[in-house]
Order: sequence, then C-alpha cells, then structure tokens
Amino acid sequence: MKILVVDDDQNIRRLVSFNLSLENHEIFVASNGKEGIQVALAKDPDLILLDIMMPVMDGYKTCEWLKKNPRTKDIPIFMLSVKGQMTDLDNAFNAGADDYITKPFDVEKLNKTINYKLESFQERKKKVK
Amino acid sequence: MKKEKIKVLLIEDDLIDQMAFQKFVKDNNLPYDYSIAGSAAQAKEILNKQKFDIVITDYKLGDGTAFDIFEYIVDTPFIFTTGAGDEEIAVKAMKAGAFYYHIKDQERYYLELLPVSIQKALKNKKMEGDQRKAEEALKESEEKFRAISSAANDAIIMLNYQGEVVFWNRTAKKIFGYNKNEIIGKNLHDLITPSSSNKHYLKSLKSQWETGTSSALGKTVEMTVLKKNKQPFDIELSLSAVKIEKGMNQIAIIRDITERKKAELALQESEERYRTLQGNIPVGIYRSSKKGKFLSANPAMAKILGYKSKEELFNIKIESIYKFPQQRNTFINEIEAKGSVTAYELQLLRKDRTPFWAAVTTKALINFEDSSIYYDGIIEDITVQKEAQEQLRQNKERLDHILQNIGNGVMVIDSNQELILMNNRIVELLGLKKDLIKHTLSDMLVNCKDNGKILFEALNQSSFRNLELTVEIPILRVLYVTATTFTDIYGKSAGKIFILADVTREKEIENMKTSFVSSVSHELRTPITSIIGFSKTMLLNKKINDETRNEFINIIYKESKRLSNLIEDVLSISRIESGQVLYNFKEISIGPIIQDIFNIYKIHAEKKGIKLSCIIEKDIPLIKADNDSIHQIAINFIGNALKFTGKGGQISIQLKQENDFLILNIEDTGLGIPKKDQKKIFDRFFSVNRPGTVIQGTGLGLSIAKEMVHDHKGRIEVYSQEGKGTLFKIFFPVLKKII
Repeated sequence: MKILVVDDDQNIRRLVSFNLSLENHEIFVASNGKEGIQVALAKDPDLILLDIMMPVMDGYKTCEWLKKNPRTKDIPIFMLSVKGQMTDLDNAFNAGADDYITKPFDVEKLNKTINYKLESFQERKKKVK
Repeated sequence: MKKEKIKVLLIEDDLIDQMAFQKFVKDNNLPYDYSIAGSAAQAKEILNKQKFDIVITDYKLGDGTAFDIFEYIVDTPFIFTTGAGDEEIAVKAMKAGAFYYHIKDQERYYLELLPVSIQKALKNKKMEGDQRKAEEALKESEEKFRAISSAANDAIIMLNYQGEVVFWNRTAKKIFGYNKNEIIGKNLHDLITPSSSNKHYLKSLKSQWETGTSSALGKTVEMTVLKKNKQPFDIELSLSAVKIEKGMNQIAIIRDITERKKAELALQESEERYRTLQGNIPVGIYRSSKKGKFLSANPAMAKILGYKSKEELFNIKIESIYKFPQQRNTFINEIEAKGSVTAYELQLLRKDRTPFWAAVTTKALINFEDSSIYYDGIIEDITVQKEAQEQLRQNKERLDHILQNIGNGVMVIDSNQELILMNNRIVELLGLKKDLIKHTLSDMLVNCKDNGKILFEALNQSSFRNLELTVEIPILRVLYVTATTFTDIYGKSAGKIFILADVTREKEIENMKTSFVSSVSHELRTPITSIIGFSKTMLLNKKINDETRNEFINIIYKESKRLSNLIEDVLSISRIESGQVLYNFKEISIGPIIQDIFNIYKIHAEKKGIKLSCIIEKDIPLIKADNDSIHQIAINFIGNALKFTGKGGQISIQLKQENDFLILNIEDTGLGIPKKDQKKIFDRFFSVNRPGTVIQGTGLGLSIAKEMVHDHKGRIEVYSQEGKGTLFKIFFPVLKKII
C-alpha cells in the first residue's frame, strides 16, 4: 500500500516512515500541507497521515482541500497531532478526517491501526465497485 | 280659547255598548278624546303607550275582568260599569279604588250619568293631588330636619319653657350618654350642671331661659358640664329661642370640644417650649448710628461680642469689631442701597480680638427729629455653621479630587437611573466623548456589548462585585463593575454607586497564559514523540543495522536536548519573572560572542536556503554585560529571524557603534510583523497569529530577550513591514571612558 506522511518535523517523518516500511508499505513524505497536496495528487496514496501544526498550510486546511477534491476525496486521512483537546478533534473531523492519533503515539499500535484500517477501507472499496 | 279635551279610555267588550258610547258622545258633543279597548289585553296595550285622564271599564271583559287591568291604571281615576245583579262586584271595585260605578241598564240611561261622574272624578283627582303635594312637602321637611339633626355632629336639644327636654338627637345621646327615653321630660340643668364655678352661670342662665330673655341667647359660650357618668367635659353652647304654644322654647346646639381643648393646650405648651429655647440662643439685638456707635443693645449682643455689659459696648467704635474695618462702609452702602439686608455674613472680632463669623440682618431707619440715619439689626454667631460648611466644602473638594484622579471609573445614579455624579475616567473607560452630556445609565452604556444588558440585569441586586462588562467601541475593553446601593434617610434605596476597573490587560495576560500552557505542552510533545517512538522502534526491531541504530540514537539525543532547551526557556522566564536571575556583569567585548553565534547559525541558514551575513565593526567599545545573557539575547533574535524567514531569504547581522550606544542590528526578509502586533511581540506568551500557518514557538524568546536587554540598561527598537521583513535594533549603552 502507498502511504503519504505529512509532517513538518523530520524526525517524526523518519519515525513513521521507518516503522510503516517494515510492514512493506511504500512511503512518501511531505513537510507541509501544500507539499502534501502536491505529493497526494502525484502519487495517489491509499492513506494519508497528516500533522496539524505546520507552516505554509496547516493540517485542517490541507484535509479540507483533499476531501473536496474529486481525485483525493476518497483517500482516508489520519490526523497525527500533539493537539489532543476535544476542540482539536472536532476541527479535524469537521475538516473531513477519518481518524485521529495523538502524539506521542506507540509505534506498534500505529502500525496495527493503520493495517486494520487499510484492510477495511480496501474491502469497502471493493464492495462499492 | 279652545278647551282641552278630556282623554277617555273606554274598555268595553260589548260592541253595542261601544257604539252606544260613541253615539252618546257625538250626540251630546262631549269634549272627549276617547279610545276604545275591546278586551283586557288590548286595554293593557293601550295603557302601556298612553296616559288617560279617566278610564271607564266594564267589569266583564272577554278575556278577563276589570281587576286584571287595575295595576295599569294606578294614578288614573276610573269608573266602573257592571251588568245588573253585579252589585257585590261593584262594591269590591269601589274598595279597590274605583271612583264610581254604574249599573248598565237596558235603555242605557247610565250613559246620561257618565259626564257628571267624569267631571266629579277629575275634580276629585285634582284636589287629591294638591293635598298630597302639601302632605309630601311637610313630610319632606320633617324628614330633612330629622336627617340633619341625627346626622349632625352637634347635639341638638330643645327645652320647653320649664327647662324640660322635649327634643334630643343622636349626637346629644353620644355626647352626654343619656338615651332619649331617659331624658325627655327631665330638667336638663339639674342633670348636667357640675358643682364647680360655672354652676352659678348655668343657674342664672336657667332663670333667664325661664323668663324668655337671656344675655346668652344668640351667643356661643364655652363651659364645663357633666356626662351621665358624672365625668366633666368641655362644650361649646349656642342658644336660640323659639316661641311655641305656651311659651319660649330654647334650642341648644352643643359641641364636644374636649379634643380641641387638648390641642389648644398642646399648642400652648409647645409655644412655651419654643420661647424657652429661643431664649437660650444668643441673638444680639442692637441699634447703631451711621457714625459707628452702638445706641442700644441687648445683653446677648454684649455676650456675643465678648463684653461684660452692653454699656461697655456703647464706648467702642463699631469699625473696631470688624475683622476688616473697611468692610463696614461696603456693608452700610449695601444696607442703604437696599433698605435692608438679611443674614449678611461677616467676620467680626470679639473683645479679646478672636475672630468669629456673624450673620447680620439689619435695616436702615431715619430719625425724623434730626433726620439722622440709624440701623436696627440682629446678630447671630454662626461660627459653628460656618465651620461645618467649611468642613463639608473641604470634604467635597477632597472627594472630588479623589474621584477625578482615581484610576477607576466612578458613577452614581439615582433610583430613576439618572446620573448624579461621575468622573472623567469613566467617560474614557466606557468609550464616550467628554463633551457630550449624558443623563442616564443607558446613555453611559451605549458603547457596551448589547448596550450594557448584563449590567441592567444585575441592577435588582443591592450590590455586586466584578461583573464583567465589555466595551466594544472605540476599542475593546473588559471592565469589572462593582456596585453598591445607597439609601436615603428613610432606608429606601436612593440609587447606586458604580466603580469600574479596566481589566483588559489582565484578561489578555490570562488568555496568553492559557495559550502558553497549551503551546508549551505541544512543544514538549513533539520531541517526546520522537524519543519514545525511536526507542520503542529499536526495542521492537532487534535486527536494525548499526547505521540506522546510530541515526536513531542521534535523533533521541537531539530531541532530548531540544526538550531540555525548552524546559530551560520556561524556567528562565519564570526566573526573570520572579527576579531570581543572577547576572555576572563585566566589562566585555560582545563582538566574539556574535561571531561565534554567526558561525553556528550559518550552517542552519544554508540548510534552510537562507543567506546569513554578519558585519562586526572594528574596535567596537566595551560594554558592561553578562556574557551568557548577551549570548542568549543574540540567539533569540537570530533564531527568530531564521524561524520567520523562508527559503531564498536574507538575514544580516550587524554590530556597530553609534554615539553612546553599541547597536546590534538583526534584519531579515521574512514574514514581518503586523502593525497591530508590534507592541505585543515582547509580551510573554504572545505569538503572532498567522492564519493558515503554524510556526513553532513558546512565545517566550523575545520576552526573555527584552527583560535581559532592559537589565543591561539597553533598549530595543522594531521596524517591520508585513510580508517584507523585520529589523530589530538592540541598543547597549557604551561605558564612558574616564579621562
């Protein structure tokens, strides 16, 4: 599966990429929302992990954009953020996010969650087809 | 003259009888204007609409008898007709009020008799009416008298020529206590005369009454008499006489004046008390000549002026008792211009030269014997009042001063929400214009959120504290309103006092602190995520090669360092805040420090695609500074510039001397700072809100730097344009060389 990781912190990008690549996923990275959109359009990923607080374009705006665009609207988006308040969750889901993971996270759990979610999304996709 | 016709109603069910009546009237040319009813029902109908002078009715009617219509003809005389053999009924009819009756005979002779009966009936009716009128008039006047006498507040008593009571009204009973039955026929004088001094008077009165002539007649006298229970009380007695039958009858009108006497006594007492009181207040009364000598004076006058006797006064010059002697001329001019002067306030001197305030009321008069002018006047010592007034004035002035200079807004409203008092500060706080007049509370709150609805809603509370009121125009302000109710001398609410404190700044800081806490917690979470994440990754994957493992350990190390720096920042701001920073001030050159930092950041900048340059003037002067602080200040500004400058930007560092200052310039081509935020960037926890972007920062860096520069007796200037870049100029004072 192709997974896009959008985060302005390069260590987090590295951490997530390394762990997900162990599960044989193909990983793309971007360091802000604008870049994330460009990569998403170019690579057509199966899932996007999206940080919220980023320069140039933040996660909410990026998520909204992706969910409005016909080419990207069906890609599941997981928010990955240090912001853990209820209002942050509300904002994320209002922007169209499919799930929300708070930092710091457990890498093992992250891997599992993403695998299960990917499977169920794929199944649903098949059914729709 | 045409005689008026007699209105007749004939009630007759027999058609032949009807025709006979009509024919008879016509043949005899009788002056009757008649109607005919053929039945009882028809008769009732006619009688309801019309009045008749006379009614002639047959006894037997098709639908009833004549008795059925009696109630319709109460005031109208009526004549009854019956058939032969109905005499008994005729008698009954007469008893019921019929004027006359006729037995109808075959030949109808009875018709011949009708006109006479009608004449008689009408005459009788007229007589009856006149008599009734007379009787009614009499009855009415009797009733009137009875009503008046029983309702009268005065006792009305009539005595016959022997002094016996013949009339006794309700009030007489109430006043004296005797029932009508007990007193009628008794001798009044014996019963009510007390054994006191007016017994003699009453006795002579009695004899005078008996002769019919009395000096008391027609007069009103006051006397004390006895009630039934022998209790004496005061009355006012008016007597009049009227000659009835055998002799003179007296009519006595008597009023109980006990209450009036009491009131009179009370008045007298209070008057006496007042007189005593007045006697104790020294009011000087004097007469003086135009030339300035006392002509006469009362003892109080001497006492007020501190002299032993009034004779002593006559020897002094009046001018000498004025604190300002020239004032006498002014005063006299005024008296003569106006004729008199009331309560003129002057400062006078006592004999021992102590000054006091006096109120003088005086009048200019002319002596007609020698045409000289003199003055009559009274003097009161009003020093106490004056002092109280002065105290009051001073209190008011002090209060006004406090009111106008206090940092809080103050306003006072009465119970109608109208303004009684306010200070200038409140006008400013509520965003109002100074020169516009405000009358009511709602005038004052026009610039508040919802026109001050929150305050109006709290008005029914007698007091409240720290009610948050938001002013929206012309700038946003948050005010805390504290209110208390004040009462009038009767304890009723007379209005409210409001004290408004500006807490805009405090509220801002509160908000900043909240955002700081969340900002710090975010900043902490990012490095922690890496530290936990990479350690767990290594624990889970034993087969990671050495190179990757080293990379991860390196990240963990750096992120731990970053975490440590952040904690350091937070601690350092709290140290500065609590004044716990210990500076090690020495005479140093800060050039090498700046050069070191430049060398470190150059690499950072290159990675970000930013051109970083540094120019340090030769021979820069020494300054008195703490090495570590200068290091931190420089790092904070340079770090900031890097944070807010994008790829392709430029940052230049410059260190140079200008007059008495060493200046560190840090200029970037970054995002710039919006004008409205330029003053706030040094506030703790503040970070510029940039929609759509989030740049990491604790909001502490500039705050720390500013505090440190301040502690070095320096200052910072900011020049910035949004989208173009920012220039910070940091001024450090140069050490003066001792020549």
